[in-house]
Amino acid sequence: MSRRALAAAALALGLAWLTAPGVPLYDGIGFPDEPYRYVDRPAGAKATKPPTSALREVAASRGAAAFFDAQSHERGPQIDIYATSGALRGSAGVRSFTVRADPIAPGATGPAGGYIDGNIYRIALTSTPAGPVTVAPATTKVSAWVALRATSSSPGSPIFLYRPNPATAWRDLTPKQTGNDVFATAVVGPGDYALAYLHKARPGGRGGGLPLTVIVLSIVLGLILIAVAGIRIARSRDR
Amino acid sequence: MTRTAPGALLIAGFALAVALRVAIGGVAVADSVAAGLTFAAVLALLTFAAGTNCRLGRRSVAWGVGGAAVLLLPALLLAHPAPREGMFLPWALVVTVVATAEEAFLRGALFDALTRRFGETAALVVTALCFAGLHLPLYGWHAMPLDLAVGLWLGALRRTTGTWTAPAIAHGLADLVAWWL
Repeated sequence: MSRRALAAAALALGLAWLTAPGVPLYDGIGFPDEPYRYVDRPAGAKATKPPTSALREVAASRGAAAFFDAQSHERGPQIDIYATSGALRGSAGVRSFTVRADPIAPGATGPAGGYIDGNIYRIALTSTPAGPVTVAPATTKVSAWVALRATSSSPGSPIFLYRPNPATAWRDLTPKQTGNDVFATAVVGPGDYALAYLHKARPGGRGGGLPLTVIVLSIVLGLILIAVAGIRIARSRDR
Repeated sequence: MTRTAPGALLIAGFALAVALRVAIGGVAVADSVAAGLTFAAVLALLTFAAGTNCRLGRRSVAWGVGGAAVLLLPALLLAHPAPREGMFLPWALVVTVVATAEEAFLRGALFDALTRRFGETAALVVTALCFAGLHLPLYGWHAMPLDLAVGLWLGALRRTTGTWTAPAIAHGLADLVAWWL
């Protein structure tokens, strides 16, 4: 009977793998992010490899881009640009679009009384053959989003800043939290995007890892589980 | 509750634990360590209250390791291993605690309660459905077929070995090895 159960479960697994997108991972807590990679590392931040760019070439049909997702290569990605089909538009003869986002150092720029959290990401939208590229206004069916990872999940909700070019002033965009330390906003066009905080104090800037309280809590919980298992084993031996 | 704790009561407690996890984790529920540990703590309490036998022998370890190898097969074949930065040990500790608590409850206390009332096959199917259901708010509907099948596999390991430690080893190992995939 148990052999039949194993065989049936193995068959179900085989069928499920066929429907699973990519490498199936089963459960557990998400992987901790690697420490934030700064273009210009602040004092006290951990030394890391340089941050990476996001780059994606997107097929076009009748002047509109197909669905795409362009991520940088950190774990987890520090920038992720994704859009539904038709969110990028060019002239009718466009064969493809290129979406690119490069990290740049924030320097002294930022909101009054606050600071930019991590890198600025400069998004460039180009087409082949070259021509103007626009972002369709967001609707329920068509939208383009940019998500940035904060340097830490600790300081609270940041604001999302955008400027079309370095000569213009920053303006606020509406952020939406999409992960533990990930915030997204609708793409309004090419230009600079950044997360920022309006208070002065900077977080530790380490990123990644787990807080000490969580480690202590998990050790305590682990000990409780071991104790419970030990009691049960002892009782079952007594019977 | 005693050893005759009804399965319905345990399932209700389990549903509350899932709801609590979602409430604490919010949009980041799949990554929230605090939510995962709270969930594990509630499951551990339910398991302790309901009671389940815990046997750890060479047989259950062997089945657990073999069960993990099966779960990891496609990942080992398809993955492009890359170095993952960050603190492995704290992460591994949390993942092990959560996976163990899930198995002690689902393939331990709940499996026992359902088996006494409805038989092993019903227990296997219902615990697999619960396992898939707990992952719905974390990974969405697209992961349901895989999570249901994994739940059936872990239940089959429990049924074969007669103890929840084998699926706990399989579950925990499959999660931990994912660090390198």
